[in-house]
Amino acid sequence: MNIDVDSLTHTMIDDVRHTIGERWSTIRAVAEPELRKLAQTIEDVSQLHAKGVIDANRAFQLVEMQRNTAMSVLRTIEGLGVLTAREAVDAAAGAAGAVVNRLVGFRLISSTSNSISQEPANNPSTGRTKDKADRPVSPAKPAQRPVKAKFKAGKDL
Amino acid sequence: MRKRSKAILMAIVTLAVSCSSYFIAEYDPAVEGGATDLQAKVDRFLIDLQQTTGTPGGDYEHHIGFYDEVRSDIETLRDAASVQRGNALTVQSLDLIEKNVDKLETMHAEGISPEEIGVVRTLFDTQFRMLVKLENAKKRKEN
Repeated sequence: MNIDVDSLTHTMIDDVRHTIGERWSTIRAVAEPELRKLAQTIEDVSQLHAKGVIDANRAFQLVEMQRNTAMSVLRTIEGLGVLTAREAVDAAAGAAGAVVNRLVGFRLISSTSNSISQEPANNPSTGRTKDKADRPVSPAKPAQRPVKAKFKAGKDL
Repeated sequence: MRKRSKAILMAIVTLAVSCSSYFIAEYDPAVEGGATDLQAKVDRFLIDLQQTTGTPGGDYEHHIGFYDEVRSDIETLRDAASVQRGNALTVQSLDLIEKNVDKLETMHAEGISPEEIGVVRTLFDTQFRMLVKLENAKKRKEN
């Protein structure tokens, strides 16, 4: 079986780009203004202290609260990053799954978000797959045509 | 044979990534709805306190119940979030909100000015918005 590695790579990259594109801009859009706003609150606390509205102890308490808030922002950014990474992995796995499944001869990578299936797709009684797409390839009988990486992510060949 | 090995290796890498910290819990409307309600409750309280602080109506003793209620609401949300695996970030965000509730309570008991409440309001607003944003991101992922 011949794999057009370049084509497959491009397919995977395109899928990943398409999937995380919006999310990446979301992460930036969240992180920058929120962290800037938190920097502004430190300045506000500093001003309150300078004007004598609050003492050093109170300034310290407010900065502690500000620190907890900054950590909350980072938790969300981390979560958005995890979701982005997850989507990237799913997109890449979906794009590559069909090719890999055909190579190994059973449904090793599924196209859903639970990227891996450890269940063989073979029908145990017949040794055949229910789905034509999952049909194992006999090593003695190689596929007639090379696999083209022109498929849509999430769909088998 | 070599390609088959590569394919298996690729699948193992994908499996490792799938089972690692890249796992994140599914969207739970109870958590998002509860966080939004709590955000509104805390904000209403702070607006009211900003107007009454320094008067008998703004005294801490009159508002002890509010802090207990908020802590109870956070506990309920934390329980709901803890049901699912992969919700550590949501639980940690709730913990951080509770820490700030504790600090607000301490400052309120000691006496707090309208200017300080203004700063505190901004901080709570950010914390709740971040929590809701994370929950909404899970929802978008599922869609």
